[in-house]
Amino acid sequence: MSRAPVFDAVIHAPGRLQICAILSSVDDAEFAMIRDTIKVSDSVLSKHLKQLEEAGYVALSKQAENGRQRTWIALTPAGRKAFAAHVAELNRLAGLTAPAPMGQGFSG
Amino acid sequence: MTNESDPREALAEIAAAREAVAQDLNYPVIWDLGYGVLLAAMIGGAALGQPWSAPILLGSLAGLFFMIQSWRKRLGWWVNGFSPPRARWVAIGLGVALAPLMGLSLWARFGDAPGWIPLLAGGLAGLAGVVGGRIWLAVYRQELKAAAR
Repeated sequence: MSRAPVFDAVIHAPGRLQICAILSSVDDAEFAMIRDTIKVSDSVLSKHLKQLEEAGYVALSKQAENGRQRTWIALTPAGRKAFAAHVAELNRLAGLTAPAPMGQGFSG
Repeated sequence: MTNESDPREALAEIAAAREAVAQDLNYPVIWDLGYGVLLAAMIGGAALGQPWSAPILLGSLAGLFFMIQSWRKRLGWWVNGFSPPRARWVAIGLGVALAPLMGLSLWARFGDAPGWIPLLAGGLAGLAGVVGGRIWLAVYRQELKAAAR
């Protein structure tokens, strides 16, 4: 699904980019799985998730499992759209900054 | 951490995160076998009259629920068969394949079909579940890798 490229500063921050990448591949993911995958502490991940939640990009839900509360996170439809648009913008920028193929951009 | 000014580095980080999900997908084939058994029970059991068909259907649904819960617990994430844009076509294809098999079972229940028809329908449904599950997995894995590029 192609989206109009739009740079999103909330998503682009290190850590949040990876969180959105994981969540865009699945329906939802558990807090510990994301934390272990992107290798950050609980507090850093919580901070990222709070910012994404405030932007309306993720939804958090608590589920009891073996007597423990686990937090599951999912991208909202707005989050999916924003992430797709951001990736499109990154691809556009990467295309602009790609090195010119041999023999191009040079005339002697 | 990403060099925020370099879009290629940001894209590489996205690719690495999606690869991590793809690596989790090396689950044992017994998952698909279990799924196939549940589908076989659901389709084949529909041919039985009451009081058997309802408990078999409920038991199969409970089995599916248990499988989903164990997946979530083990991997820490979940994606349903219809969510990934490309792999969803495999799930739709499986549904299309199962519909006539359910029809055969119902024919055996309400019509005058031979007694082996529900066995055949259930067996084919189980086989479709196993093969469909494996194809779905392969397509989803490719989808994750393609999205990561």
